[in-house]
Amino acid sequence: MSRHHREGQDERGDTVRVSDLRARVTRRRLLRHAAAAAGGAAAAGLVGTQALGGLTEAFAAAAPRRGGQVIEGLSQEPVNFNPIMPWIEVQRGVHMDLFDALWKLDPAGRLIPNLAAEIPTVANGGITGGGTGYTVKLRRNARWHDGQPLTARDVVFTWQTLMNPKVTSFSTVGYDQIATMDAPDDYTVHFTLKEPYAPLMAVLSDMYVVPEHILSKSADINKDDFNTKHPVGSGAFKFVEWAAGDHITLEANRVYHGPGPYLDRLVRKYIPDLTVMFTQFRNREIDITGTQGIPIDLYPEAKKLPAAQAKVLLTPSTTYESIALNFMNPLFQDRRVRQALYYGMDKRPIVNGIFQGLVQEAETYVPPQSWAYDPRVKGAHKYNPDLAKQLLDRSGWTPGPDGIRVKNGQRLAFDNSTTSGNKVREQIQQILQQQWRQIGVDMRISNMPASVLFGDFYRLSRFQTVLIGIAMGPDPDHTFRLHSKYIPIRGGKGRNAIVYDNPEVDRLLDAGVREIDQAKRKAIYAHLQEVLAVDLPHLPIYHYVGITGVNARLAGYTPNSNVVDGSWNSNTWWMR
Amino acid sequence: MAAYAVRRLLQAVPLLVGISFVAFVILRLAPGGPMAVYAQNPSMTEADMRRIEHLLGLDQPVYVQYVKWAAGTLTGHLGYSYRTGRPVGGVILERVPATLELMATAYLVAIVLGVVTGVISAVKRYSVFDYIATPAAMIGLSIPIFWFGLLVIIYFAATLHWIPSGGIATLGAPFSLGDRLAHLAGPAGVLGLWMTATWSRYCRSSVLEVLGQDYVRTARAKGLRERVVLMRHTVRNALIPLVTLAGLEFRNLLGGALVTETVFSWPGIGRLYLDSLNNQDYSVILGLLLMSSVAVLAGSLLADLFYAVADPRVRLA
Amino acid sequence: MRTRTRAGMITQRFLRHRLGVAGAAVVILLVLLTALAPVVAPHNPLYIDVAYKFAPPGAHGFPLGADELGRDVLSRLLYAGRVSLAVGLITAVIAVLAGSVLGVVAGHYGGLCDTVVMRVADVLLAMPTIFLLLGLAAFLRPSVFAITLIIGFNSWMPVARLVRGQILSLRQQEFIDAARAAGSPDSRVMFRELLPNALAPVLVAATLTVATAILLESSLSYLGYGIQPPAASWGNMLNNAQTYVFYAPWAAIYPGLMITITVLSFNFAGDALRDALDPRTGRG
Repeated sequence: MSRHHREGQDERGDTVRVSDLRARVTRRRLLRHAAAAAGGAAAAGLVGTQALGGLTEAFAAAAPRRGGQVIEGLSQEPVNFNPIMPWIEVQRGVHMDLFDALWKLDPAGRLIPNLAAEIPTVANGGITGGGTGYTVKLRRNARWHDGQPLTARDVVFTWQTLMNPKVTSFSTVGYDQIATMDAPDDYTVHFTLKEPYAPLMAVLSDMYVVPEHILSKSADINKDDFNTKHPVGSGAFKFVEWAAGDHITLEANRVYHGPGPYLDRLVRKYIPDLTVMFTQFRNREIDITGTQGIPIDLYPEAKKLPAAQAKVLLTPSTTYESIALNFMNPLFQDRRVRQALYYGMDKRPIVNGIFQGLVQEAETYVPPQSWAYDPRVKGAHKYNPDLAKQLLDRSGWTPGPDGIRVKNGQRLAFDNSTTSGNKVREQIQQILQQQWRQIGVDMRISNMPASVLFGDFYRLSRFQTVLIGIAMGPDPDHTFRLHSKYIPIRGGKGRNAIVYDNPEVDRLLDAGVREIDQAKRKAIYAHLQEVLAVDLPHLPIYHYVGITGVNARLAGYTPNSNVVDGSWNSNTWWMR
Repeated sequence: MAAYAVRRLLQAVPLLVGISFVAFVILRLAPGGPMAVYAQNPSMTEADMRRIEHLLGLDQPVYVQYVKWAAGTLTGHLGYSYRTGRPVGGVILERVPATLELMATAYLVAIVLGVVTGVISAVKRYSVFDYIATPAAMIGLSIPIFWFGLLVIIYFAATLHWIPSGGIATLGAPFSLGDRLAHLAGPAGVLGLWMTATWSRYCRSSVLEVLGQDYVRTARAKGLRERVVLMRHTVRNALIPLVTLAGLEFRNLLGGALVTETVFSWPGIGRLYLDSLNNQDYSVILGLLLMSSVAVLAGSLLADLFYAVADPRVRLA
Repeated sequence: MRTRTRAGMITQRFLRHRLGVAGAAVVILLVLLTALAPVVAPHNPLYIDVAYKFAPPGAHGFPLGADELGRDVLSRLLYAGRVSLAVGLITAVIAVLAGSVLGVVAGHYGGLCDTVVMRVADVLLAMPTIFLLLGLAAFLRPSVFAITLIIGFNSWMPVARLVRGQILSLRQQEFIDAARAAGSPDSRVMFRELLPNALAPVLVAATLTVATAILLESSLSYLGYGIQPPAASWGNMLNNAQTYVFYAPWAAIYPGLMITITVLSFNFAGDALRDALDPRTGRG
């Protein structure tokens, strides 16, 4: 409980707050840190997300030492190392080790140049035309693992490949806002946009550049051996081998352009069972519990590990858990029913009972650590079963013989589905089921495997309600989830599977992406969050917090809620 | 006998077609799909998923997909994994050695322990040993193998630290036989002991049956030493039918291996099957079903052939 | 008269089999306890109160402790037993009915009928059971009903083979010829004459099928493809409990014990039944 915070310097000289997370972190303390961080951000006039002060760490004391290996346990297996191909989080982590993007997002949401020599801004002439023209200067010392120089042609090729209709590229979102991209010289990339698009910088922080000189010769990029057998990147680590079903070995790229790498080897070990993973962490067989980390139920056990052996880090995430209501169902078209369900929801057994106070209650999709978070929605939700009952009475739902409300002969009953096998979600469902029964609502549990749930059942809006986690990502734009133009069953291209159609929300979302001034965007998203808090297309429950166990000897591991995997700065990790 | 083998092989062909068709239809008519794992990826939209599905041919009618797949399979190409874009044959084959290592060790444990306890139980029938070993074998048949594995991990790995809690080798360390065996001990021990129960029961009743045969009585009557009667006349003859058991049990062993691999994070085909199911990687699931069926059929054919060689009284028809 | 003496002999032989009797007794006890769960269980198995999360055995009136949501483990075990036993017993019924009918038909008619039934059985028997079950369960909504059907669908083959074999040997015998000569229709010959005579081994197979089905259900549930909450089966209680084995081991140990004891009892009973019905084999 000593050393709560100390100031430290990370590799790039940015000041970040440091905390000893072996200390017990209570929810109150978390909130205090968040408040302090928010205040600091305002004072420093920083743009970008301010990380929860107590939740990041860096090491200032000793100079990095070279050598050693780190083994990270993963509960899912990375199976494709080409960053163009569809990915899940664990896979993205390996992409981060092997490849580089133009810039990175740090835990505070600031952009850090990586392949770019500097971040383009209006001030330095990198952004022109009111946000429609971009010029990016590249660093001149970046090389591919095979020794070839990394040039502007590679960047252009990467964008073209993402947009290539014959390539099963993971995404065209944001990339399709770019109208043209070209390379006036080897170290300059120039691109133009059809219209200003505020999330672009965040999108490009996730565009990992692939080698043109190798992939342009590929007969079929989708099935190339590059993807699984010999990926060639420019990152801090080089690919050595993938023993399928067991582990992936990477070794240091000693001619890396950035700081580091300090480790000799980075191994990713596939351990499908989280309990087994924790056992191996406790037995010192692995150094990091990756992506899904330590299950909340094992957190008390993790805290008992000696300080000299392990650190337990809490990472706030941009994902929030909510009940998504399908607006195709007349039941949920009635706002009073949605509000009644929310008033009938007591989050305390979830936040305190299941999560032992580690997570925060959510009232909005924007995580509290984001610059776009609207503090006024805090407390918008209260547990008030009497009010819930009144709302339902007013809406014409009256208690039936079995205690479940009835209107025009229809019972107030619906199915709730989530991914089967997810313990925490199953527990939340059972708690909500019991709570809602008390206001006369019958929620039936009907779970299915993730691969079924997220198939047509979810995509084509065949569900009634689902309990899911939705990630905001580093930018507060939520168009693909909430805009009426992005409803899949109406032919939309997005993820608005709840079929939410609210003109006011549409208008705010459109305004948010076309505005590049952050202060003005903040006002737009604050308004949006207040509208959503009343209209309730989703019933937010809590904001995710990742629990990661890290070997106490490992320095530099820094949780970052703006990226999907902790590997974002693996080049600066070292073993004490 | 060669003719018999050929006929059995020919009979297997419609069987495999049947298996592939049943499996294909079940997989494709069910909800979900290989793209669902990406549904929570914040940068992939519905449009991206449809574009990828189209490129992978997942939007074609089921019968078209089956014909394409079957045509490829006939030429020895089982298609590409939807998750990795790699050829299915390679994806499966690289997992086979780990599973074989596990199964062979477990078989060895099961046969040695099973035969020894089975023979002793039969010869010393109604002895204290028999009274303990026979119900113990039944417990082995009744215990859920994953629970057994879990108990082994809790006790031997987490509490006593005698064995690692999972994986096939210590990462980063140079290859050493001791390390390899330590990793193998848990899963092979669990799987082997589980199979021992079956072997011991079969062996016991087989020996008992032979002990009742005329020629054993004759041998005893001739005044042959009990050891000779037992080893040369009884056990040898009793073990021959067990060869069939080895063939028949192959299927159960494969099923047991799947569960054991999951509990001990063993990187074999059982683990691959579960991962492919979780991701609805249809082509790999189909490939595994087909290849495991081939293995099961081959196992029973080999057992029959071997039985015929070992026991001249058996004639293959 | 003949049957009564035979039944008497069988009963006598069964009763000599001490482990078999114990098994049968435990089975009866379990069926009674789970059937009377609403009366016997000390608490509501679904009532959640996170304040009692992982209450150890004996504390706060939880005889076997409480689980991750503060529910009484003993009450849940009793209610879960209903699901596990029901899956086992219904599967056995499905296996016996489907297996007997298909086996009799295949054995009696022979020819194409026989080929089709036996080839389908071969197809199903060529794939490792758990592979096939997982494949089916992964693509269906896993309700108790669906899981039972899936396991039943994969359990009829041994019974069908058994019955077919019996029929093939029985039809050579004189009383069948006699029935035929007397002009009995096929269905009568099949189900009145052939089947009852094949019943003894089927009964044994049914008992053992219950055991196998309970194990299969628990494996499926353990791997996450079986019975889904809030319904509890012993398998899915184990699946839930495995995360907490380090500090709430009782939650993982009791359901595993229940499965083992139940399956063991059915196996002992089945073994004893086999010996009792077939005097040629010695004591198990």
